[in-house]
Amino acid sequence: MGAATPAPARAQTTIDFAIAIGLFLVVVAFVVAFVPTIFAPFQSIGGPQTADRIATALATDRLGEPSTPYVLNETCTNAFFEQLESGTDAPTTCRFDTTADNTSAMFALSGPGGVNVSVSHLDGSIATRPGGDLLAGPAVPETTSVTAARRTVLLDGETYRLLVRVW
Amino acid sequence: MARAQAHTLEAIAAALILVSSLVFALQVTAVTPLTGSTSSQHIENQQQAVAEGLLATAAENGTLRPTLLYWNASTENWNGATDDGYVRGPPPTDFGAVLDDALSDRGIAFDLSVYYVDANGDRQRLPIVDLGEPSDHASTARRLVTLSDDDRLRAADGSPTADTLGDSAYFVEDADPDQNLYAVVEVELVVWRI
Repeated sequence: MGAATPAPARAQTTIDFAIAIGLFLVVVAFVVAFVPTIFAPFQSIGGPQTADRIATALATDRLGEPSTPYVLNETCTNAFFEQLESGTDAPTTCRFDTTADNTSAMFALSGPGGVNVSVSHLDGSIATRPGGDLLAGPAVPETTSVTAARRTVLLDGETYRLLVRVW
Repeated sequence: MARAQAHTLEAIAAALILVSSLVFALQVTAVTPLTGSTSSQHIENQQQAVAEGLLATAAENGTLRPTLLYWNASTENWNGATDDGYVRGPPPTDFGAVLDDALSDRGIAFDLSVYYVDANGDRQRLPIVDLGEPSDHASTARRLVTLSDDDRLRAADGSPTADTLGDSAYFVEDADPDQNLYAVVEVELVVWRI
């Protein structure tokens, strides 16, 4: 803008304005998109609590005796997984709901999610019972967020790992 | 210059104000879910429950007490341990093998120690397994174990020896010489993620 060209004292107003609005909108969009993620972990507290509740209930009460936590009753544990697989009702002396046929009904869960319960050896392989595996519930989805809770339990004198997965 | 670029400068100023207010809001909040930590409350809860279960299952199937009796009366130390206890992993007992499978193999470090009351009435700590200083997010589980006079110390290969607690040098004194009770000790398992 030398003195030889006296013309525009206002430069390219339109372009500057477009850059300004574009920059401003990008920053506003970033802030609006970022703020909810700050609070997201606070909102998804349900998964960990549900998994923890089910794992504690199974390990310290429902599959054994509350007086001896983490010690499972072999008969009731086998019957628990048998009942969830084939619908054969477990003995009524067991401490869980002996009529529920799936894990959601067993743990009184509503909604679209699911629960998967398994008992495995310490090396990770699934433990077996007469006629099947100690595994119950639908297959764990690979596309949604799954919360796991673990317990160490005693079954027939051996140490096993109880794993509850909730989604 | 003049009016035109002023539009751009104004936008930059507005953007800076927006972003800096967001940064300020994050900084004045003491703890947010984004606060740096290598562990979360949920994982600590799980490890605490796992540690409790390990002690409960070992007490129930009778593998916890042999580990406490894995003691060499002549050296007055755990069989083959250093002065700080076992520092490279759990002892070669049944309970030690379970600790190895359940914790070490999953990247969880642990300290196993025993608390007892000495002759002066003071509470003392004796390390059994010492894998280092627990981190800030460690979890703890404790369990009481009752020892009796006729419990036999274990040899280095784990088999019971002829030495009973009643007439051997053990880390804790006989609490009741008149009766079969030897002592009640507290086993503590501290676990943390490496």
